[in-house]
Amino acid sequence: MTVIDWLVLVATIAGIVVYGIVKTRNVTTAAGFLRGDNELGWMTVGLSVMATQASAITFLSTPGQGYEDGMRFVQFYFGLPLAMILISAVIVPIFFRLRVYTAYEYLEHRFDRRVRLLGASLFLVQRGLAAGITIYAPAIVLSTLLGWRLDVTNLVIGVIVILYTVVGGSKAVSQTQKQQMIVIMAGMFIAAAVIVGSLPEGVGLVEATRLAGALGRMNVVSFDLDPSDRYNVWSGLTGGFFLALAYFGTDQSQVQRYLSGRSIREIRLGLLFNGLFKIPMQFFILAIGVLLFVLHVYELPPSFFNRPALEASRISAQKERMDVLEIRQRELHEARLALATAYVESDFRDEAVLGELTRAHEAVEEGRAEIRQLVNLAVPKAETNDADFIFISFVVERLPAGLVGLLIAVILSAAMSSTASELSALGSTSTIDIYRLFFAPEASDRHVLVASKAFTVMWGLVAIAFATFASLIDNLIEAVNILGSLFYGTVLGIFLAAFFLPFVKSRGVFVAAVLAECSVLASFFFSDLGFLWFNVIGCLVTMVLAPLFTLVFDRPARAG
Amino acid sequence: MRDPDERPSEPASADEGEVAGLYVGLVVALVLQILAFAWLTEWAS
Repeated sequence: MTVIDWLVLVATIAGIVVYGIVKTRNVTTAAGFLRGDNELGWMTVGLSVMATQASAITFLSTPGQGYEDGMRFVQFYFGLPLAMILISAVIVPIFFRLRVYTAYEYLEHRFDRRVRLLGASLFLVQRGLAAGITIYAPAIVLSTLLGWRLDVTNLVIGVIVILYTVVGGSKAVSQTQKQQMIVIMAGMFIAAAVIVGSLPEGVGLVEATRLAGALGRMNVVSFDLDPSDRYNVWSGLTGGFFLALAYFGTDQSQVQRYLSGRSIREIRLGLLFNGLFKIPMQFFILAIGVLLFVLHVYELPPSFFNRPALEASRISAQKERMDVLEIRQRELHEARLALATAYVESDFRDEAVLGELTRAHEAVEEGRAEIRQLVNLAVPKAETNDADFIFISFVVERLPAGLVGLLIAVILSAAMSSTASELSALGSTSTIDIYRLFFAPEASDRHVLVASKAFTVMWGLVAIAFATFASLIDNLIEAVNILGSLFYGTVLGIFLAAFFLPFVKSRGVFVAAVLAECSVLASFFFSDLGFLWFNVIGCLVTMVLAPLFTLVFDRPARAG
Repeated sequence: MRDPDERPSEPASADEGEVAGLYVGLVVALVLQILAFAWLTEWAS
């Protein structure tokens, strides 16, 4: 990174953080800290909700996913708008009118303290781990590529977030997220423009899209009904719906965002704003990856995107084999390029060339897989799933000075916006649903405020520690989604039973939820089911068993 | 902790019609997006 990049990076991040702190430094009440005094308009609610969900993982992994696997991941979000409607219509009015600080408070209103504690505990376990991944994911990629120390990177991201979250609480989180979303979207548009501008003459957006389609990257939707297929319209609409319903309806890191809204109307508009723009945003980020893939059809890509690992394998015991593979990969690339050029020049009509191009492309993919295996052999500790490095490698190696700093600021902003929501939610749940409930029921407002800040710091330190000791897991965004899916379904089942099954009682729902969680964990460990279905299983098992167990445990005593 | 006066009360059924229209609009937008993606998948393949 050049001096200009560092200036842009530091100025952007510092500007946002200072703005957030100055704007919210006068928060002196628990209501202000936990719920931002309910001052937010719909646009801020919408941007805050979007910024919370779009972590750095989104901007590192998603383009890589588009590059490797095409556009089909966008289907994962098809259920989200439907979930926004249900949450706006049913859940928001209940939470808002009960004046709850956390979603789990509602469970005590509806059932009892035990169910509230179960819901809060599942959230704390799941989100506590995820907060570490939210910091770790960008830190590992940036430290590997830029030579930064991983522990220092984790620490810097974590400490900055703790700083403004502790000063301004929920209000600071929302205010900074608005600025962060502006920086993020500006940065991503610039990156997309640079990629399109780098395509060879005669290859515009239309040609790039058709070439990507010919090479299997424009698989945006599939209507095939296959339960083991992670991404198709049906799994997106059902599994994606349940996951979005659970995430936005029961996860405190989201509930806290929109409960800061000024009124039910403002909250609803904010959520519908998210429902309208989420799919186009994900489509756009995946499309950046697909465009980068097309650029690499014309320009030789790195043999392996985790460049330090590639360099290490070039001087390892596998050096000779690596030389052979890299030379062959260049030849395969040239062969594919010639056929791609011929196919574009035939105006995408020459079927014979298309057949040859498909075979040449498969050979390139196989060659890349071989290089990946060899890197794994040569540098066993290196991250061999290099998909998360694809986009950021392009940024670092191809963008002009200044823009590199801006795009790194995008990644860090995204990391901080999600982490801030998580820490704020973990702090408020620990305070309201555990500490105040069991240890300080008579606590003053000042006491609750100080406890909330202390728990926020504690969870920040836990997240930093987890990030420091975590190791990279397959694909980061999938890891977070899988982790979420293990718990969301059950929590959602509890909430849906609370909202829609008025005859269900507390003991029935509690036993049903415990059994549902066991079913989800059994499915995860002993089946090949796509992870989106875990949400459905957890939710349905809870909702089916809760009425049955209510009949068993909570049957009213018979008169006489 | 909970102060009944800390949050403005909501007018009953206010804006329900407007919100219902937005719900329908969002469903229509989703359907249109899926159809557009289906067309794009077909066109580009």
